[in-house]
Amino acid sequence: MGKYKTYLAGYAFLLPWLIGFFALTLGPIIASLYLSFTKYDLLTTPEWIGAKNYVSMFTDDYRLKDSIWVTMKYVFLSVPVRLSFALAIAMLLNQGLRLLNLYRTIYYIPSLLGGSVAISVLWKQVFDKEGVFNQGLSVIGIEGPAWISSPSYAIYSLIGLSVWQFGSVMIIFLAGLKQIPTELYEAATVDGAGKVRQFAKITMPLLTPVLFFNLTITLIQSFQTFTKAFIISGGSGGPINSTLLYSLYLYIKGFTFLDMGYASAMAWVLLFIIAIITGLLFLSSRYWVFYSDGGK
Amino acid sequence: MTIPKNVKNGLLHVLILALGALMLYPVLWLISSSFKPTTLIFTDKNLWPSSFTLEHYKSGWSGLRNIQFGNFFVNSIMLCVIAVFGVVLSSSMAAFAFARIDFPLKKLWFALMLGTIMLPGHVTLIPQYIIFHELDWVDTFLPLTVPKFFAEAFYVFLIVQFIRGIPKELDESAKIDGAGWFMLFFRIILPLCTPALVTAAIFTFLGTWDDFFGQLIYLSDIKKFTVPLGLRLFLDSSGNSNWGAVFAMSVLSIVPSLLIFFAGQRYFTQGIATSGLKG
Amino acid sequence: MLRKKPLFAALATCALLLSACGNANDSKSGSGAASPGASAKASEKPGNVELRMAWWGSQERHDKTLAAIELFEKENPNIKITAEYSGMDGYFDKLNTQIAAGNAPDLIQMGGNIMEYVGRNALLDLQPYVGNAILLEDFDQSLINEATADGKLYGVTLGVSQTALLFNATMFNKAGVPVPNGESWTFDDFKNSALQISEKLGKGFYGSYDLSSDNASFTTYLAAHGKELYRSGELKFDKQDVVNWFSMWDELRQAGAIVPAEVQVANPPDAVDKSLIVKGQVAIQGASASQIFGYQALTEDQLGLLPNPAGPAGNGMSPPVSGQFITSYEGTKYPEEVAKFMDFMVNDPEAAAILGSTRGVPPSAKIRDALSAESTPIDKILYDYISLATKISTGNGYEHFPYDNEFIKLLKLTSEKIAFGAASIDSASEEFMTEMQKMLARANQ
Repeated sequence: MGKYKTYLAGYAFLLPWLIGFFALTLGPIIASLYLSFTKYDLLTTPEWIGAKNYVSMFTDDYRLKDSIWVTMKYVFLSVPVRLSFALAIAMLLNQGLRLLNLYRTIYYIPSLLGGSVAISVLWKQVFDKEGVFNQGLSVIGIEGPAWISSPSYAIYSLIGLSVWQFGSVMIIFLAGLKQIPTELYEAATVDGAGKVRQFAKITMPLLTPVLFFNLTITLIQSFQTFTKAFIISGGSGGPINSTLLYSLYLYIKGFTFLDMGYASAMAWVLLFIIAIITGLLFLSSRYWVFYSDGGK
Repeated sequence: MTIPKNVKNGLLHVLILALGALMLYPVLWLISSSFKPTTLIFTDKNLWPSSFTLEHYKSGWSGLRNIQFGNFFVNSIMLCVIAVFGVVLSSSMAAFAFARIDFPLKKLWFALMLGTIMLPGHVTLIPQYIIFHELDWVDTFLPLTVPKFFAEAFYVFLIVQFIRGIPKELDESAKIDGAGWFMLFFRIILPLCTPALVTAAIFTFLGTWDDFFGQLIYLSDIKKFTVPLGLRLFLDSSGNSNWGAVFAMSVLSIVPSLLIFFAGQRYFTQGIATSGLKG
Repeated sequence: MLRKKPLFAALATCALLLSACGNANDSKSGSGAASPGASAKASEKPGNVELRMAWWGSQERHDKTLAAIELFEKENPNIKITAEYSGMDGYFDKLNTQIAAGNAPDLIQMGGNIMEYVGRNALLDLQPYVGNAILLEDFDQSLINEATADGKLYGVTLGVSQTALLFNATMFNKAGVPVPNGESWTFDDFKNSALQISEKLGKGFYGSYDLSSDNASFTTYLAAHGKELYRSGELKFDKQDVVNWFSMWDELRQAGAIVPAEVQVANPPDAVDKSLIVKGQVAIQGASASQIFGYQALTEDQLGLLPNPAGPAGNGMSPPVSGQFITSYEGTKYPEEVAKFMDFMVNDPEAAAILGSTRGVPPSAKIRDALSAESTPIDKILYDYISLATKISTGNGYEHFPYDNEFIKLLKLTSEKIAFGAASIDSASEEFMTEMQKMLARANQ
């Protein structure tokens, strides 16, 4: 196939995305960048104020510090725990056990509840001061705190919610595990390799593309967590800003305080941070991710 | 002393079940509450209802004055089916281009595409709404379905990773056999990344089913409401929220997702045997 | 996957066709999009007029409002009203989005935040219709003033309410504490009652919710001490007032008379079904008077309404306020029909009978009299309370602070910091004043 025919093919397959990008996505993105330099309350036209929003963010916002700290705590605790759980359970379930379908479903059901409005009530029932979790703890002699209503612990109930819904990450790992051709394992067994060696030399390397995906995506998504925090705190980010995740704060600024210009500035700062972290991840990937197509 | 296989398996089962039961507790509480009379929901701590009632299912289903909850289900299902079709088709196409074809500016487009995931959605909401308003698509299902046919970055990225796990030799032998790009895509690559496609389908279904905010701002006519919107009609902070009905309908709304999940399971269970293609 | 595709394709095609049909029907009906900046004008005179109306509420309110709309449509066959209703969640987000795009409904239910929208030119000037299409002679002048700016009326009150203290009479009786006299009780009386109730009833029972985070209670407290929150571009209180306020509540908290911080977060007073007053554990909380229906429906205990206690300058309450308004979008194409419906909602006896008190006490005195024959005991409590509040209120009426939402959140944050012991009363009050000044500065730019 000629070179130009290849280029054409590439663009042909990419066409749906390109159309959507230029027609529906690019415009709003540029608009939001513009809005970040304005004072915009949704009801009247935006008013240009230069970089004032950005300056205020870094010098004058008493809630922002709390919010960033809470978000960092949330991201750097929930992501590793979630990934580890998901990978461990995925491997556990990949042993070729019977009743596999049932187990997979059981672990996935929490994720099915998604951002359901029922979760707010549910989670309170479990993690309230007299909730089931504390009842369980008291059986082994620990008196649990008020997980949801105490400023020191509320964030952990949020992290707990995130980890509880690890099912979706687990599914992706499972799909990745299943994609590894079985003949590789067969051939290795014939060659005399034991289970552990097979895991280290076949499973892990071939799983790295999926691991990379899960790590990157989970990181990006957890920075942007909104619904969970909104539901658990009733939209307040409380008590005392202890569940005021960055995206929740952004929403409050934009839709409750009607300061959409400021919220847009916050969004672009977040994008910047996420982009840097993701960029670093991609750079590191050439050292530990193995692609079967020989690429990097 | 080596542990006999039966015992090991048995222990494994016990471990998995125990952990699973713990995970499921909140869900079990939800289900049990949906069968308890309203006054008991928050006061009765037991999982097994001391008093059993179907009233929430009945009152929830009959919905409000002129609309039944079943209506909301139909709308949600319709939206989800369309979304799944659109997302899987368009995203796999884009993923194929990124993963297998060499063309100019490829890296730029990929980076831009990933960039779109990194911006919090709340700030592009208003401009997007304005676009759809100009198109006169507000209060229709179009803003919630048409964009799905233009690929979603999350799934493109996912499928790219899967396609890159497929050895290139298969491509080579297919090309030698005279297959064009189209054939390569449909006959070889797509079947080989089925687990990824099914994953994308399930997630898209779930994501669309749960999309409260998008559906909130684009749908005004009650007849078009979907399940998340319908659930919130029962809740009002100034009066009684009909929690019983919310729980009952929430339980019901898990069912379609569960069914889809079950149906898609077998695509996770098949390992890939690629030797057949080499011959 | 290959087997599934034909099925998917068939389903998808059907679904696409269905939604396309739906779209075709919709584009024929009035879309409500209009050019912003158009002022009050005569309606276009077509055969059929289609209006869109948005409100929030519970199932009961939806049912009643829909019934009232049906009645109106029967009497006015050339007007059709499409109802766009929902719960409170997301109502204003959606409305703001619609206004931003020029796509708001013709009739909009509005709450106490009406001035935010007036100030941004989003609402229709109703003044031209007052006295002809919309008759307001039976309304209390204060209700009309609330929705008036620069001599123009922007909203019609749908229901009258008033801030109040909701109390659990049964708990008072159980504790052997007499129910205070609303007309004359003071802050000291309030403190005593709260202390006595929690002492007599023991652990787990409290005299009152912690109201230090409640903006209505705070602003009333200021007025009761001769101060005010905000008037004409200035803050009319100082740090000492803030310190006094929080100190009073801290005293009660230390004595165990009010709900402790953690319990309050877990059982917020404004969630009707979780409220501890319904569970018989707390005797007093703040509420909007018309909310008594919701609370009473969930408990066997007897509930009642009390005005705020009095300070040195009287009890600081304003004359009764509107619980909700009906307003219209600035860019509506059918202002005359809109006005007609508004008048119908508040003056038509049949409509009033249908709507009842779902949005508060009916604002028209004539309607109130007409309905009094069918009022329930709870209606009577509400009506009596409104009359009492009207009689004894000494305040000047609130001027809404320009950044109301931020103020409310700030007050809550400050209260929580103190309640959890995360900050001293002095430093938290200092922070509060600083942030309020900043907001004021922004507003006066």
